[in-house]
Amino acid sequence: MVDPPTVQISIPADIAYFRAVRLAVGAVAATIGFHVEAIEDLRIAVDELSASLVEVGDGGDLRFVVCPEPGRGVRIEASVARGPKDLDQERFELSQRILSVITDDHGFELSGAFATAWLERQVT
Amino acid sequence: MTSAPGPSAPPPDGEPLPPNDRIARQRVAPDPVQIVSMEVGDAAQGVVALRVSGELDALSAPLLARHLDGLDLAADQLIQLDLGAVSFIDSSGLRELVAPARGLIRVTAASDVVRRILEITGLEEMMSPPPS
Repeated sequence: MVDPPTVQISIPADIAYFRAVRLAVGAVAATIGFHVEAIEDLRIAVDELSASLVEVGDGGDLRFVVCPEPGRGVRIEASVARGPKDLDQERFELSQRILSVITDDHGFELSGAFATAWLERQVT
Repeated sequence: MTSAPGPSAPPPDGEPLPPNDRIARQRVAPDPVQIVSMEVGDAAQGVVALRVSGELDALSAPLLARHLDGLDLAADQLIQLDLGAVSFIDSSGLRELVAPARGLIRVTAASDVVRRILEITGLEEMMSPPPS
């Protein structure tokens, strides 16, 4: 059995690279049938994952695994090694509000040595 | 047959870039957000108006914050923001708009993405006229 295709992205923990992730995710979304507005939503959504992870990371790379299902949707999982800092709660609250509308499901978890975040969005 | 010239060596430190190199570098690394204009309104009315363009994200939001902080405004100062040319905004950009003690911000124009994010986050009242 062939594993479904994935796109893996790794960026330095630097906000200057968030745009590269947005660009890559937008390109993947375009290939699997998302319309323009949904692509914009996904660009915002992955940016929100990035912003939260970089706040709590240890300065190491942010890693993203984009799992597209052509014609159906996409799941994006992201992680970073945990650092000493906490989330900016005010920004995080805004971020969660945004994600709750522009994704079908999303999550964020701080546990052990890693922080993880994920989202799902259907094509329809 | 002629070939296109290759990249030129960088000039020594302290020397200005040739015009063509300046153009190329500007295209590769454009400003993430631009404060297009700032108009200080009638002092009696106490209005400051800013027009912002570009992507308002974690990278560029601090630029807007520094700009607003640099105005050294009173907490009740009315700031009118034209965000009609903002092509991207996230929670980091939004946070700067709702930061306390930076004046009373009203969004006088909003691009579709700004309007949508303000509505999602329940901040659409920022787009309403200020109380008279």
